[in-house]
Amino acid sequence: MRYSIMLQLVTGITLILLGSAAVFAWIQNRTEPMELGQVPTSPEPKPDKQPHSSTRDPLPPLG
Amino acid sequence: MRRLLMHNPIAVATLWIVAYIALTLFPLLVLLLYPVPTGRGFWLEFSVALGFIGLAMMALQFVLTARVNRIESSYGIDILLQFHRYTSLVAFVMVLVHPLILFIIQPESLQLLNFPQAPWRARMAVLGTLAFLAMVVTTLWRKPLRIPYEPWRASHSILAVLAVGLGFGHAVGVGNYLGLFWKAVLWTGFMLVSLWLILYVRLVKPWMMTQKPYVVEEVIPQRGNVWTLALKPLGHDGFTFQPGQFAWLTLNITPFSMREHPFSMSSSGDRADRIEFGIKAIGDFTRRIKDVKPGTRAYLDGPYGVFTTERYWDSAGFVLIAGGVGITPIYSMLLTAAERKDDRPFLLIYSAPSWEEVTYREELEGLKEKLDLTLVYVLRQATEEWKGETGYVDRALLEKYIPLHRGSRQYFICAAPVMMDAVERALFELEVPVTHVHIEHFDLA
Repeated sequence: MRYSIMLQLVTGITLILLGSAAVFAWIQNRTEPMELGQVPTSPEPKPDKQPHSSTRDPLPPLG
Repeated sequence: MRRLLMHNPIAVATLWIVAYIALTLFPLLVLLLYPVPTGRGFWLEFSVALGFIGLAMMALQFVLTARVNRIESSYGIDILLQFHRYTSLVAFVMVLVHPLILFIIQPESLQLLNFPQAPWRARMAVLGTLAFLAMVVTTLWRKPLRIPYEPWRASHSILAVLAVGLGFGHAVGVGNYLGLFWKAVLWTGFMLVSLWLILYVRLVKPWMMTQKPYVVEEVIPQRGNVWTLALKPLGHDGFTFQPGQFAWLTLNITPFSMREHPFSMSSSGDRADRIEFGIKAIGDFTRRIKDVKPGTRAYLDGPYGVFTTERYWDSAGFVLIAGGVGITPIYSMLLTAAERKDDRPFLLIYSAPSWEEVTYREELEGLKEKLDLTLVYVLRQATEEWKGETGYVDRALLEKYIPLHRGSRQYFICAAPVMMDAVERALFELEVPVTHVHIEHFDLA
């Protein structure tokens, strides 16, 4: 019984973590980047290439 | 508030869960500050988040298995190890899903699996995942694969360090999120703490154990193929313990070898000068106990465990339910209570294969003179002369013996997993409060 309670607990924790991952992805994908102190401007077209990928190797970065 | 956190076990346990979630998510939240250029797409970012959460969960496994007394005393080590197993599987799934999403949304990234031509960051990811996979497979199927406990344990630690190290190397190698110096420093600190914990368990703690050695005083045969291994401290005072606790035993080899085994103490918790273990000969290591010679060097890491009557000093009495060698910690509870002249009622329901295999039978009968102790033996194979209980410890039998005011006692169960599950369910049906039932799993491996 204790293990079944813990299984529910781990399921709950997993859902919280997945939810957080989704919120993280949403926040990162929501706005264009801004440097500190930069005045927000109208949206610009998204770059075609990943900023780091071209300097490292042709494969897309994962993390 | 402080008082509540110090004295309410549920509050303390909840606090640790909140801390676990916060520690898992903190490294991810750090990445949100000074965000890298965005617009890479939701699913790519989701995949990245899963990778970082999986890595943080893997690193936190070192905390769960470091035998931190404060955490362990809130749950019990068996619960912590089970939590470690479940959360490791969750982390493993996240680590696997992380590249799968990428492969789906950017099929060209499958080139990363071309090992000879892939960049090092991808090679580290592949090797780290393989190490993690090997760890999961050898743990879940250790017995079918016939991997002995000791080499499994050593390889488990090595694979864990490899998996986390390579995973972190992969994240740094990609550099998209850890490109900023101070973010890399924070994550490196997180990883170093994990590394320190495994070094502490595998190197520092064994060194501390070598400073407090023990010698085997005698090995005494008991009924039921159980052996009492009696140790005495060598050049130090030993330790007292709460009756029902256990310690990790290393016998005749250096503690650095990582070949230690958990056993419950069977002696009085108040006697630091002689510590006894009740060990049933059922495995490779335990079958050799009977051949151990007096004078053999031993090392102990302990005491550990929350399966103890000590935490319930204001309970009106105790119901103890043992099966086979599960009597060991319970015998320690009774012995300690007798020495302390505890006047509360104790009911022991003890299931054994036969009358001849009732471990500590004579000693238990002797304790009836010193304690308010009711003994109920439940034999699976009884002779015709046997007038007592037979069969299994089931609901009907429990109902017959446990007090009407269920909540007036604390209930301790130590037996094989099948019996513990059945007894726990029966007690629940008999309306014993769930917070009054305590269980010891002695198969931690």
